[in-house]
Amino acid sequence: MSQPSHGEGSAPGREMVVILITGLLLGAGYNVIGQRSDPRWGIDWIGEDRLENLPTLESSAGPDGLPSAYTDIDDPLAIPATAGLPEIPNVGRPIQIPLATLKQFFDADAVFIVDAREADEYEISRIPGAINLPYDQAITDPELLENLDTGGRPIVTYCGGGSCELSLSLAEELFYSGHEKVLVYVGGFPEWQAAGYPTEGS
Amino acid sequence: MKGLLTHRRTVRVCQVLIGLVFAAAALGKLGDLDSFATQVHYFRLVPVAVENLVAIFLPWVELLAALALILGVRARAGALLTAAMMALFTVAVSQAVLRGLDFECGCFGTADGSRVGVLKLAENLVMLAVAVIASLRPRS
Repeated sequence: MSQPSHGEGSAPGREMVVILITGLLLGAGYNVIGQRSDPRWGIDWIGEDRLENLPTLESSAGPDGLPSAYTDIDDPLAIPATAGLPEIPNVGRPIQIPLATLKQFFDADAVFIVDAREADEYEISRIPGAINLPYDQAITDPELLENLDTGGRPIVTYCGGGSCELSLSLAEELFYSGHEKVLVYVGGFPEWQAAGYPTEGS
Repeated sequence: MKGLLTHRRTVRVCQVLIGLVFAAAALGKLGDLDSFATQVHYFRLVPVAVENLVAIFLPWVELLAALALILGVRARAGALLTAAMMALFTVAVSQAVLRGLDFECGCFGTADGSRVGVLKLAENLVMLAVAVIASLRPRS
Protein backbone atom coordinates (compact mmCIF):
# COMPACT_ATOMS: atom_id res chain seq x y z
CA MET A 1 0.00 0.00 0.00
CA SER A 2 2.95 2.32 -0.54
CA GLN A 3 4.48 4.06 -3.50
CA PRO A 4 4.08 2.94 -7.14
CA SER A 5 6.34 0.10 -8.07
CA HIS A 6 8.64 1.90 -10.44
CA GLY A 7 10.57 2.90 -7.34
CA GLU A 8 13.54 0.60 -6.83
CA GLY A 9 12.83 0.25 -3.17
CA SER A 10 9.24 -0.98 -3.54
CA ALA A 11 8.34 -4.37 -2.13
CA PRO A 12 6.72 -6.42 -4.92
CA GLY A 13 6.05 -9.28 -2.54
CA ARG A 14 3.73 -7.26 -0.37
CA GLU A 15 2.09 -5.63 -3.40
CA MET A 16 1.47 -9.05 -4.92
CA VAL A 17 -0.37 -10.04 -1.77
CA VAL A 18 -2.42 -6.86 -2.01
CA ILE A 19 -3.35 -7.65 -5.64
CA LEU A 20 -4.23 -11.23 -4.69
CA ILE A 21 -6.44 -10.22 -1.78
CA THR A 22 -8.17 -7.52 -3.82
CA GLY A 23 -8.76 -10.09 -6.55
CA LEU A 24 -10.31 -12.49 -4.05
CA LEU A 25 -12.62 -9.80 -2.71
CA LEU A 26 -13.70 -8.63 -6.17
CA GLY A 27 -14.22 -12.23 -7.30
CA ALA A 28 -16.38 -13.00 -4.30
CA GLY A 29 -18.41 -9.80 -4.76
CA TYR A 30 -18.88 -10.37 -8.49
CA ASN A 31 -19.99 -13.93 -7.90
CA VAL A 32 -22.50 -12.97 -5.21
CA ILE A 33 -24.07 -10.41 -7.57
CA GLY A 34 -23.81 -12.79 -10.54
CA GLN A 35 -25.59 -15.59 -8.69
CA ARG A 36 -28.62 -13.33 -8.37
CA SER A 37 -28.68 -12.23 -11.99
CA ASP A 38 -27.46 -14.69 -14.61
CA PRO A 39 -26.29 -18.31 -14.24
CA ARG A 40 -23.43 -17.52 -16.58
CA TRP A 41 -22.02 -14.80 -14.36
CA GLY A 42 -22.47 -16.29 -10.94
CA ILE A 43 -21.73 -19.94 -10.16
CA ASP A 44 -21.91 -22.24 -7.14
CA TRP A 45 -18.97 -21.93 -4.80
CA ILE A 46 -18.35 -25.65 -4.74
CA GLY A 47 -17.83 -27.38 -8.07
CA GLU A 48 -19.48 -30.60 -9.15
CA ASP A 49 -18.74 -33.11 -11.86
CA ARG A 50 -20.88 -31.90 -14.73
CA LEU A 51 -20.70 -35.05 -16.78
CA GLU A 52 -21.61 -37.24 -13.82
CA ASN A 53 -24.48 -34.99 -12.87
CA LEU A 54 -25.80 -34.59 -16.38
CA PRO A 55 -29.31 -36.04 -16.56
CA THR A 56 -29.52 -39.20 -18.65
CA LEU A 57 -32.17 -39.97 -21.22
CA GLU A 58 -33.20 -43.53 -20.48
CA SER A 59 -33.98 -46.01 -23.20
CA SER A 60 -37.61 -46.85 -23.74
CA ALA A 61 -36.71 -50.36 -24.74
CA GLY A 62 -38.89 -53.13 -23.40
CA PRO A 63 -37.66 -55.73 -20.93
CA ASP A 64 -36.40 -57.86 -23.82
CA GLY A 65 -34.08 -55.02 -24.78
CA LEU A 66 -35.82 -54.48 -28.09
CA PRO A 67 -37.18 -51.10 -29.07
CA SER A 68 -40.91 -50.94 -28.63
CA ALA A 69 -41.52 -49.25 -31.99
CA TYR A 70 -41.15 -50.57 -35.49
CA THR A 71 -41.72 -49.35 -39.01
CA ASP A 72 -43.10 -51.19 -41.95
CA ILE A 73 -43.01 -49.37 -45.26
CA ASP A 74 -45.53 -51.78 -46.73
CA ASP A 75 -48.02 -50.91 -44.06
CA PRO A 76 -48.93 -47.20 -44.00
CA LEU A 77 -50.85 -47.68 -40.79
CA ALA A 78 -47.81 -49.00 -38.96
CA ILE A 79 -46.66 -47.17 -35.87
CA PRO A 80 -44.22 -44.44 -36.92
CA ALA A 81 -40.63 -45.17 -36.06
CA THR A 82 -40.49 -42.35 -33.58
CA ALA A 83 -43.46 -43.61 -31.60
CA GLY A 84 -41.56 -45.67 -29.08
CA LEU A 85 -38.75 -43.22 -28.56
CA PRO A 86 -38.39 -41.60 -25.16
CA GLU A 87 -39.59 -38.02 -24.78
CA ILE A 88 -36.80 -35.52 -24.41
CA PRO A 89 -37.62 -33.27 -21.45
CA ASN A 90 -36.38 -29.69 -21.31
CA VAL A 91 -34.22 -29.54 -18.19
CA GLY A 92 -32.47 -26.30 -19.06
CA ARG A 93 -29.30 -27.94 -20.30
CA PRO A 94 -28.11 -30.79 -22.52
CA ILE A 95 -28.93 -34.39 -21.56
CA GLN A 96 -26.75 -37.50 -21.84
CA ILE A 97 -27.85 -40.21 -24.20
CA PRO A 98 -26.55 -43.75 -23.63
CA LEU A 99 -25.52 -45.97 -26.52
CA ALA A 100 -28.68 -48.10 -26.52
CA THR A 101 -30.98 -45.08 -26.66
CA LEU A 102 -28.90 -43.42 -29.35
CA LYS A 103 -29.15 -46.59 -31.43
CA GLN A 104 -32.94 -46.45 -31.13
CA PHE A 105 -33.02 -42.85 -32.32
CA PHE A 106 -30.46 -43.65 -35.03
CA ASP A 107 -32.49 -46.56 -36.36
CA ALA A 108 -35.59 -44.39 -36.51
CA ASP A 109 -33.59 -41.63 -38.23
CA ALA A 110 -34.94 -39.36 -35.52
CA VAL A 111 -31.78 -37.49 -34.57
CA PHE A 112 -29.50 -34.92 -36.11
CA ILE A 113 -26.01 -36.16 -35.32
CA VAL A 114 -23.13 -33.74 -34.97
CA ASP A 115 -19.49 -34.85 -34.88
CA ALA A 116 -17.48 -32.39 -32.76
CA ARG A 117 -14.09 -33.82 -33.71
CA GLU A 118 -11.61 -32.34 -36.14
CA ALA A 119 -12.29 -32.65 -39.88
CA ASP A 120 -9.53 -35.22 -40.49
CA GLU A 121 -10.88 -37.59 -37.84
CA TYR A 122 -14.38 -37.12 -39.20
CA GLU A 123 -13.25 -37.89 -42.75
CA ILE A 124 -11.71 -41.21 -41.76
CA SER A 125 -14.69 -42.64 -39.94
CA ARG A 126 -17.93 -41.37 -38.41
CA ILE A 127 -21.46 -42.31 -37.40
CA PRO A 128 -23.40 -42.47 -40.70
CA GLY A 129 -25.27 -39.27 -41.50
CA ALA A 130 -23.37 -37.18 -38.95
CA ILE A 131 -22.33 -33.70 -39.97
CA ASN A 132 -18.96 -32.33 -38.92
CA LEU A 133 -18.91 -29.29 -36.68
CA PRO A 134 -15.49 -29.05 -35.01
CA TYR A 135 -15.82 -27.30 -31.68
CA ASP A 136 -13.19 -24.65 -32.40
CA GLN A 137 -14.93 -23.73 -35.63
CA ALA A 138 -18.40 -23.72 -34.08
CA ILE A 139 -17.43 -21.48 -31.21
CA THR A 140 -16.17 -18.70 -33.48
CA ASP A 141 -19.36 -18.67 -35.58
CA PRO A 142 -22.48 -18.20 -33.43
CA GLU A 143 -24.73 -17.81 -36.47
CA LEU A 144 -23.72 -21.24 -37.71
CA LEU A 145 -25.02 -22.73 -34.47
CA GLU A 146 -28.24 -20.72 -34.43
CA ASN A 147 -29.07 -21.47 -38.05
CA LEU A 148 -28.25 -25.16 -37.93
CA ASP A 149 -31.14 -26.87 -39.71
CA THR A 150 -31.88 -30.04 -37.79
CA GLY A 151 -35.14 -30.76 -39.59
CA GLY A 152 -36.96 -30.52 -36.28
CA ARG A 153 -35.00 -33.43 -34.88
CA PRO A 154 -33.12 -33.36 -31.59
CA ILE A 155 -29.37 -32.90 -31.87
CA VAL A 156 -26.87 -35.46 -30.61
CA THR A 157 -23.24 -34.42 -30.27
CA TYR A 158 -20.37 -36.83 -29.95
CA CYS A 159 -16.60 -36.74 -30.12
CA GLY A 160 -13.67 -39.05 -29.39
CA GLY A 161 -15.20 -40.28 -26.11
CA GLY A 162 -13.18 -40.94 -22.96
CA SER A 163 -11.30 -37.84 -22.00
CA CYS A 164 -12.79 -35.91 -24.93
CA GLU A 165 -15.28 -33.41 -23.61
CA LEU A 166 -15.75 -31.39 -26.77
CA SER A 167 -19.15 -32.94 -27.30
CA LEU A 168 -20.48 -31.57 -24.01
CA SER A 169 -19.02 -28.13 -24.72
CA LEU A 170 -20.53 -28.12 -28.18
CA ALA A 171 -23.87 -29.35 -26.83
CA GLU A 172 -23.92 -26.51 -24.31
CA GLU A 173 -23.17 -23.98 -27.02
CA LEU A 174 -25.95 -25.40 -29.19
CA PHE A 175 -28.35 -25.33 -26.27
CA TYR A 176 -27.54 -21.74 -25.38
CA SER A 177 -27.86 -20.70 -29.03
CA GLY A 178 -31.51 -21.68 -28.97
CA HIS A 179 -31.79 -25.39 -29.76
CA GLU A 180 -34.07 -26.93 -27.17
CA LYS A 181 -33.37 -30.62 -27.56
CA VAL A 182 -29.67 -31.25 -27.35
CA LEU A 183 -28.25 -34.60 -26.33
CA VAL A 184 -24.66 -35.60 -25.60
CA TYR A 185 -23.40 -39.03 -26.50
CA VAL A 186 -20.62 -39.29 -23.94
CA GLY A 187 -19.43 -42.71 -25.07
CA GLY A 188 -18.36 -41.10 -28.29
CA PHE A 189 -17.15 -42.63 -31.51
CA PRO A 190 -14.92 -45.34 -29.93
CA GLU A 191 -17.87 -46.85 -28.03
CA TRP A 192 -20.10 -46.75 -31.12
CA GLN A 193 -17.45 -48.46 -33.20
CA ALA A 194 -16.66 -51.05 -30.53
CA ALA A 195 -20.35 -51.96 -30.40
CA GLY A 196 -20.07 -52.95 -34.05
CA TYR A 197 -22.59 -50.38 -35.20
CA PRO A 198 -22.37 -48.99 -38.75
CA THR A 199 -19.84 -46.33 -39.60
CA GLU A 200 -19.02 -44.49 -42.78
CA GLY A 201 -15.93 -42.71 -44.06
CA SER A 202 -12.89 -43.07 -46.22
CA MET B 1 21.88 -8.94 -24.24
CA LYS B 2 21.14 -8.64 -20.55
CA GLY B 3 21.46 -4.88 -20.93
CA LEU B 4 18.86 -4.82 -23.68
CA LEU B 5 16.47 -7.06 -21.77
CA THR B 6 16.62 -4.95 -18.64
CA HIS B 7 16.40 -1.68 -20.54
CA ARG B 8 13.65 0.48 -19.13
CA ARG B 9 11.78 0.58 -22.45
CA THR B 10 12.05 -3.15 -23.13
CA VAL B 11 10.65 -3.93 -19.72
CA ARG B 12 7.86 -1.39 -20.13
CA VAL B 13 6.86 -2.67 -23.59
CA CYS B 14 6.75 -6.23 -22.27
CA GLN B 15 4.66 -5.10 -19.30
CA VAL B 16 2.07 -3.45 -21.53
CA LEU B 17 2.04 -6.39 -23.96
CA ILE B 18 1.48 -9.08 -21.35
CA GLY B 19 -0.90 -6.75 -19.54
CA LEU B 20 -3.11 -6.44 -22.62
CA VAL B 21 -3.09 -10.20 -23.17
CA PHE B 22 -4.08 -10.82 -19.56
CA ALA B 23 -6.79 -8.15 -19.63
CA ALA B 24 -8.33 -9.75 -22.73
CA ALA B 25 -8.09 -13.19 -21.15
CA ALA B 26 -9.67 -12.04 -17.89
CA LEU B 27 -12.57 -10.20 -19.55
CA GLY B 28 -13.29 -13.17 -21.80
CA LYS B 29 -13.61 -15.40 -18.74
CA LEU B 30 -15.67 -12.97 -16.66
CA GLY B 31 -18.31 -12.79 -19.39
CA ASP B 32 -19.13 -16.46 -18.92
CA LEU B 33 -17.92 -17.88 -15.60
CA ASP B 34 -20.04 -20.95 -16.04
CA SER B 35 -18.23 -21.98 -19.20
CA PHE B 36 -14.87 -21.13 -17.69
CA ALA B 37 -15.60 -23.42 -14.74
CA THR B 38 -16.21 -26.20 -17.26
CA GLN B 39 -12.89 -25.44 -18.95
CA VAL B 40 -11.11 -25.63 -15.59
CA HIS B 41 -12.67 -29.05 -15.13
CA TYR B 42 -11.30 -30.27 -18.45
CA PHE B 43 -7.72 -29.68 -17.28
CA ARG B 44 -8.30 -32.21 -14.47
CA LEU B 45 -5.73 -30.41 -12.39
CA VAL B 46 -7.59 -29.50 -9.21
CA PRO B 47 -10.24 -31.42 -7.24
CA VAL B 48 -13.72 -30.98 -8.70
CA ALA B 49 -14.95 -29.17 -5.57
CA VAL B 50 -12.27 -26.47 -5.98
CA GLU B 51 -12.77 -25.89 -9.72
CA ASN B 52 -15.47 -23.28 -9.30
CA LEU B 53 -13.36 -21.32 -6.83
CA VAL B 54 -10.57 -21.17 -9.42
CA ALA B 55 -13.09 -19.92 -11.99
CA ILE B 56 -14.46 -17.30 -9.59
CA PHE B 57 -11.15 -15.82 -8.44
CA LEU B 58 -8.56 -16.39 -11.17
CA PRO B 59 -10.00 -13.91 -13.74
CA TRP B 60 -9.98 -11.12 -11.16
CA VAL B 61 -6.38 -11.69 -10.18
CA GLU B 62 -5.55 -11.73 -13.90
CA LEU B 63 -7.44 -8.50 -14.46
CA LEU B 64 -5.84 -6.68 -11.53
CA ALA B 65 -2.35 -7.83 -12.53
CA ALA B 66 -3.12 -6.68 -16.09
CA LEU B 67 -4.27 -3.25 -14.91
CA ALA B 68 -1.15 -2.86 -12.77
CA LEU B 69 0.98 -3.66 -15.82
CA ILE B 70 -0.86 -1.47 -18.29
CA LEU B 71 -1.17 1.53 -15.99
CA GLY B 72 2.35 1.08 -14.65
CA VAL B 73 1.15 1.17 -11.06
CA ARG B 74 2.78 -1.57 -8.98
CA ALA B 75 3.80 -2.94 -12.35
CA ARG B 76 6.56 -5.19 -11.03
CA ALA B 77 4.22 -6.94 -8.64
CA GLY B 78 1.77 -7.37 -11.53
CA ALA B 79 4.53 -8.74 -13.74
CA LEU B 80 5.71 -11.24 -11.13
CA LEU B 81 2.12 -12.41 -10.67
CA THR B 82 1.55 -12.83 -14.41
CA ALA B 83 4.86 -14.70 -14.74
CA ALA B 84 3.79 -17.02 -11.93
CA MET B 85 0.36 -17.52 -13.55
CA MET B 86 1.93 -18.13 -16.97
CA ALA B 87 4.23 -20.76 -15.42
CA LEU B 88 1.20 -22.41 -13.87
CA PHE B 89 -0.79 -22.31 -17.15
CA THR B 90 2.18 -23.78 -19.00
CA VAL B 91 2.29 -26.68 -16.54
CA ALA B 92 -1.49 -27.11 -16.92
CA VAL B 93 -1.30 -27.24 -20.71
CA SER B 94 1.76 -29.52 -20.70
CA GLN B 95 0.12 -32.09 -18.45
CA ALA B 96 -3.02 -31.98 -20.60
CA VAL B 97 -0.99 -32.57 -23.76
CA LEU B 98 1.00 -35.37 -22.10
CA ARG B 99 -2.17 -37.07 -20.91
CA GLY B 100 -3.62 -36.81 -24.38
CA LEU B 101 -6.56 -34.69 -23.28
CA ASP B 102 -8.28 -32.93 -26.14
CA PHE B 103 -10.44 -29.94 -25.31
CA GLU B 104 -10.91 -26.26 -25.85
CA CYS B 105 -8.54 -24.46 -23.52
CA GLY B 106 -10.70 -21.61 -22.24
CA CYS B 107 -7.57 -19.51 -22.00
CA PHE B 108 -9.47 -16.46 -23.22
CA GLY B 109 -12.84 -17.64 -22.05
CA THR B 110 -14.57 -19.42 -24.88
CA ALA B 111 -14.05 -16.49 -27.24
CA ASP B 112 -11.18 -17.87 -29.27
CA GLY B 113 -12.07 -21.55 -29.30
CA SER B 114 -8.42 -22.58 -29.39
CA ARG B 115 -7.66 -26.13 -28.39
CA VAL B 116 -5.06 -27.38 -25.99
CA GLY B 117 -2.10 -28.74 -27.89
CA VAL B 118 1.50 -28.24 -28.84
CA LEU B 119 0.73 -24.91 -30.49
CA LYS B 120 -0.91 -23.62 -27.33
CA LEU B 121 2.13 -24.79 -25.39
CA ALA B 122 4.47 -22.83 -27.66
CA GLU B 123 2.24 -19.77 -27.32
CA ASN B 124 2.40 -20.12 -23.55
CA LEU B 125 6.18 -20.37 -23.49
CA VAL B 126 6.50 -17.16 -25.52
CA MET B 127 4.13 -15.36 -23.17
CA LEU B 128 5.97 -16.73 -20.16
CA ALA B 129 9.20 -15.27 -21.57
CA VAL B 130 7.52 -11.88 -22.10
CA ALA B 131 6.14 -11.96 -18.55
CA VAL B 132 9.56 -12.79 -17.13
CA ILE B 133 11.16 -9.89 -19.01
CA ALA B 134 8.34 -7.66 -17.78
CA SER B 135 9.20 -8.58 -14.21
CA LEU B 136 12.91 -7.76 -14.51
CA ARG B 137 14.16 -4.84 -12.48
CA PRO B 138 14.71 -2.12 -15.07
CA ARG B 139 18.11 -0.52 -15.35
CA SER B 140 17.67 3.22 -15.19
